[in-house]
Amino acid sequence: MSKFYQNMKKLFNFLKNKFLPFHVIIFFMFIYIPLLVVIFLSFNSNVINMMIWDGFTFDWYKSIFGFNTQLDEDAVYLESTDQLLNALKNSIIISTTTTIISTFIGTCLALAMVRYKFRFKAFYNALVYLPMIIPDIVLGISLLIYFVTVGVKLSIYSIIIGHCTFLCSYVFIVVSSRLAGMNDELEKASNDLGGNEIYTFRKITFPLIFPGIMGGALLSFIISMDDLVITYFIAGVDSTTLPVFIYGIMRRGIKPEINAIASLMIIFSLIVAALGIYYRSKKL
Amino acid sequence: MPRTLISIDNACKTYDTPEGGKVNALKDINLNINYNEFVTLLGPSGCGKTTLLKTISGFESLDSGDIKIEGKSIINTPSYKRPVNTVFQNYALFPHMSVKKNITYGLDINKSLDKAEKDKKFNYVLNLINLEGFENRMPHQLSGGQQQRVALARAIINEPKILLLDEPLSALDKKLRSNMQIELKNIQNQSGISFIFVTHDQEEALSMSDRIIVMENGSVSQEGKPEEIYYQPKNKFTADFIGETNLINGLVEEENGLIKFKNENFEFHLTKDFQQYINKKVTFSIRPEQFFTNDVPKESNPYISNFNVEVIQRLFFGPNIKIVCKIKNQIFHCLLKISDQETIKLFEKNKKISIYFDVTKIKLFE
Amino acid sequence: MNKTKNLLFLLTPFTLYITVFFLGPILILLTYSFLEPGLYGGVVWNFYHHNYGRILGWADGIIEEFNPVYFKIFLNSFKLALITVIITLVICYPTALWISRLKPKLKVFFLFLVTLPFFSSLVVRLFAWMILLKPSGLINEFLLNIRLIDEPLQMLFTETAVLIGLVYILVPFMFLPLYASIEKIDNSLIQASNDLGGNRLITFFKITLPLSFPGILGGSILVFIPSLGNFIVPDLLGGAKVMMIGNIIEQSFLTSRNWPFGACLAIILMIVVVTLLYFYVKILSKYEKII
Repeated sequence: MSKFYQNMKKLFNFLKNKFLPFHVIIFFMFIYIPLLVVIFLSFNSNVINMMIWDGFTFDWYKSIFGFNTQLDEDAVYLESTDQLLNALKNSIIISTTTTIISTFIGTCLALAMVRYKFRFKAFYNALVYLPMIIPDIVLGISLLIYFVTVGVKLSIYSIIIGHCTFLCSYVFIVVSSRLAGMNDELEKASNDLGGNEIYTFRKITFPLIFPGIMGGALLSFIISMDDLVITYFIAGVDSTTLPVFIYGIMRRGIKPEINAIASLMIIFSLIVAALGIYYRSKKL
Repeated sequence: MPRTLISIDNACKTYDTPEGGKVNALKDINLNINYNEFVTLLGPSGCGKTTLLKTISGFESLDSGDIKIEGKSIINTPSYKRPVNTVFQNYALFPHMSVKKNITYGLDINKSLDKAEKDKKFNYVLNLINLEGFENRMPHQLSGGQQQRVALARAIINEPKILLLDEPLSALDKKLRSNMQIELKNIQNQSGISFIFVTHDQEEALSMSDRIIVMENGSVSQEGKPEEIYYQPKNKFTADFIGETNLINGLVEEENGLIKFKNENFEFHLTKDFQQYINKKVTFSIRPEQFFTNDVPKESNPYISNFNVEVIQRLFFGPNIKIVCKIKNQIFHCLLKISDQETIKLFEKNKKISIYFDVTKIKLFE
Repeated sequence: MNKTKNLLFLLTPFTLYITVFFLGPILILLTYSFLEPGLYGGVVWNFYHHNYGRILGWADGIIEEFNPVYFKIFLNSFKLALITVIITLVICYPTALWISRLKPKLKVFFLFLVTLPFFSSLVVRLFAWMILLKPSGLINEFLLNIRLIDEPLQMLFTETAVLIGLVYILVPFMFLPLYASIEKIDNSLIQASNDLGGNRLITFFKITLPLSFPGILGGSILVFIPSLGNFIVPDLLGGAKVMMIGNIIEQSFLTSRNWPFGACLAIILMIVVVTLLYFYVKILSKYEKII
């Protein structure tokens, strides 16, 4: 009995002193292990059960890029690499275009909201958050109905339009927080020293908020690249994006080559994330 | 006869407060500032001094009134076209530009200057602010005092008619501040630019200015030379705000042809000069250093009066000693010069002493 | 004036865009929710309120029938979203607290570490859980190997799987606001509480927790709203077993082709969300006045 009591006391002391670090370890395991498993399994050569390690292989990577492999026909799911590459191409076109458009619109709005006083500011402030916060599915189907009613053919253009409606808000948030963190005395000082509005913007405001603009652009690129729900509703027949394409495969079953695609996507997003964080960390 | 450089006529400005009220930041201000003058706007925070500065620089517009520089109205001129430059409170150095780029910012906008001329001007101001060798540093690599000087150089290189300084020394520590005060004064003398200096620090204002404008609640409370402001305050606000003073309420009465100041704690005789205050409630003001302890024979100065007081606290400052003392319920602060250790013993706590003052030097305010 | 011109130039792009491509679609969605569904997936342009009746209880009983199942699904979605909020809060708070006490450089590093996995694609993250949870998946293999179970557990296509998925994809939405508000708490307040005799537990409950309330509230709303309307997670991890409101909306658009009914569900969902946001803003502004 006293041993049990001692053990309980030990446990209690452990929790008291080491609870936080212990919890943090579990937390990081929870968020990292699933992704590491995917990457690990993408090199597993076992065709029948991907959970049982059967040796190292690059075959899954080769197969998604359309190279010849020793894999059986029915182990491979992709009908053609073209589909995948086409989806990837669409994704990149869409993300690049939406990034440019939403960065422009969001930055303009941030400049107006942070640096000017006007009457409907409170209204704009509510309006800018709305597209971001309403559930994706609501925005997705309302865009679908809208395009169908107005008569816009569903294509990559409709996807671009759809993405920009909420990405402007993300850019706005990043750029406006950068602007708000920048002392507006700097602009006054430039004015005072003889720089007019345009000169001041070119020489002072723009260089100083540039990291914010880049951060906003990267964020909107990532979100656009990854958007599934809205794209799912407004994508046309031949305008599938990468997430929608993979979602389609996943709905039909789990196949090992998704591991390889997923691993590539994880690596890619890590690079983009690292870039984004580098830009964000740049101090004024 | 000094020539007027800038004149401010009937300037008015109100602000809306976030709570929906209105604040009169400037109430009908009239001011003239001359060429080559060092003028200080002095007042507590919220008195309108910074607003006045901003209307001159063009960051704020006036509701009514006019501002003229050399006779020409500038109120419709955007700030980038005004012959005015500002040194900001937190310097507002452009963080992404080197010291040189910061200083030559104004010159770079004006395309008419050639490189040699620019360099000449740059080297001149760099020498003026004593920062040779720092031209390629970035602002964050400079100390507070150095940043301050860069901000100053950046403004004066454009040879403005007027330099506006918005509490430029408030972020510096005490020692640096007094050095910068001397430097600022020198630079003003050398450059011949009129300085309008905003501060809430009265010592700074007294030591540097040719003229002080004391502001209170959006109006000019008093203007004049530092010594006038200090010794001839026109009202209670100025007397209280500038330097330390004893302010005591009471009544002026006439008794047997003699004029007396009186309250429940004490009374003393006044000279004929104070006739106008008879039968009025007044506040009398006397500065701590205007008290002395050695008796002066009545024959040499008939206007000396004295209080018999009890010491309740003494604070030793080195050359001076401050004594807090009281008559009945009235507390006085006196600042006395001392030169040896023995004298301090005279003012021990609870000792009864006599303190003297010259009645002609006190001020009465209604 | 020049300033007005600049402002107009800056505001116009957003105003135009949001009017045409956001307010327009929302207005059409609202219109659709009051239209009569046509026979083969189209609509008849008649005012028709029985879409709402079908969900809330006044259907005409001929074409449209009141079916309490929609109400139940709404409630179930609420339940799942609420549990997701609680789980994310419980797992994020201690981590945020721990990171907020680190040295500045380590803070940046760990913050990076927390956000990093969430930059990877949503589908990838859900795929990872599919292969972990499936009958021949990693967790089952592991449990079988250590002899804790004799046969594979059915973990995929359960509510638990949906909850795991929702928690996993929404962790950063809870973590970041929480961390921001915990990090803002002045350390001298903690020291003051310690100095006045509060031990670690008392200090946590009396100082840290109340002061981080804005973060808890913000994180909760940011997790609750996307969970409520989610359909991808229940679709992939819940299979046909777990239905959330998003799934019926999706089905009425892409499977049963009853657009007005889907629009109607979406409008109800939006009203719920906007109401929540309204109260959130109200509570927050009240709280911010105190601090």
